[in-house]
Amino acid sequence: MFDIKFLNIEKIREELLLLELLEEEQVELFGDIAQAFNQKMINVIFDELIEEERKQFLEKFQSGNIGEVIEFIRVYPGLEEKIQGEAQNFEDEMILEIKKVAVQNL
Amino acid sequence: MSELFKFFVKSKKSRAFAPLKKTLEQKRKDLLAEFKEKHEQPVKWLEDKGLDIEEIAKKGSKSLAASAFVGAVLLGSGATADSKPTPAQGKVLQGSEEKIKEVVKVRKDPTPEVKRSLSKYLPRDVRSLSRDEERKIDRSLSEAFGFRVATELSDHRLNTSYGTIAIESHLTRYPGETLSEHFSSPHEAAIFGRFGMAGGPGAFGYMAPTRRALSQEAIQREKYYVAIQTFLIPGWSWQPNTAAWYKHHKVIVIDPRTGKSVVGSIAESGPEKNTGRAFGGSPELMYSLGLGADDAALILFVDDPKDDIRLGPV
Repeated sequence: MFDIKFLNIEKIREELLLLELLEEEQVELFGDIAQAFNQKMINVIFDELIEEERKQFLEKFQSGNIGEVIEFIRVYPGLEEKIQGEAQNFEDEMILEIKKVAVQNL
Repeated sequence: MSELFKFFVKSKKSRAFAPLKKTLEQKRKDLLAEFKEKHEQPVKWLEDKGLDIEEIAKKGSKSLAASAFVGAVLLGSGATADSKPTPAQGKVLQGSEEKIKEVVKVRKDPTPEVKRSLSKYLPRDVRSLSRDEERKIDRSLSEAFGFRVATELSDHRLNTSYGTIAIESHLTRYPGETLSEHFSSPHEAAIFGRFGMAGGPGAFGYMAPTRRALSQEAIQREKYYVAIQTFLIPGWSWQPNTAAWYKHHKVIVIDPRTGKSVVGSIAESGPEKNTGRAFGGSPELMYSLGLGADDAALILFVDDPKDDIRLGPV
């Protein structure tokens, strides 16, 4: 869900391609990355919201409507910037993990 | 390379796949455990509705897997893959946004109105305000914020509402906390780690008795804490009635130059009188306002009996 807007998929894909993964493997790993990324972003967002807002957010998120989720993030003061920073951290962390595996396989 | 050889190479699973998958699964499990530990209430609320947070996080993940698939197809055809939403996704987005405008109430940014009011009522020199100035500022800022802020509340008032502010260090939130445990991400640690940590809790005590008991509310209270000169407040006493009123009472800290504001929580006593400063702010609070040491700030109490107003930037 969040990946469409906040994650640089191409950058991660480039790293994954270097591992000579099969297409199905790539797709499976992208699914795993997205799950971890979604969970990370839920954690980050929850840290910023108060209890009532958390429920509102979860309702929007679980409805699967990305437009509503993104709008919620956009209008909430400071949230988009916070998410962008955390998304960058996540991306760096993922690339590091992929590189580690690549080195192990040398 | 012969087609047959290619076939055998392609059929062999990548050696990288299994360890990477294991790492990613562990990462997701850790994040989920962190969420469940921190947010018991929403987890219970979801369970009551027959939902599972793990399933919710999984729900959106199809998009990235789909993007990967689309990307693989595009790469295969020699086209350039693009991480922007596909036309179909764009259509969904556009349609949703129209719907959202009806259901999401956009918060009005009070900053320009606050700046305008203060340029009108706040004196140019940094000094204690007269009662007349206080009344005008209280009224105009309450209107701008949409909630009541006041220089005097329930017969309590600070020694001054307008003065220079110091950048404080982080408070120890629970006994034994170290700086390395203090931040929720490497990003935060990189920005705020340099301000160090006080050797103990704030004047009003620890935010939590143990690490495990540290609630989200307690985290926010330390993150946006304010130090006030309790010892200069007329009639101040550490008697339970007085101290309890001030402890974690919400205040609004305003940069009069920009009109930017942050809702903070009183958690420390200081700075010393001989510093010439009137208040102190946590590194996060000062960063949010863009304030440096010795910049002027205006601080007012927030009247929030139902605890509706969130701590942090307004």
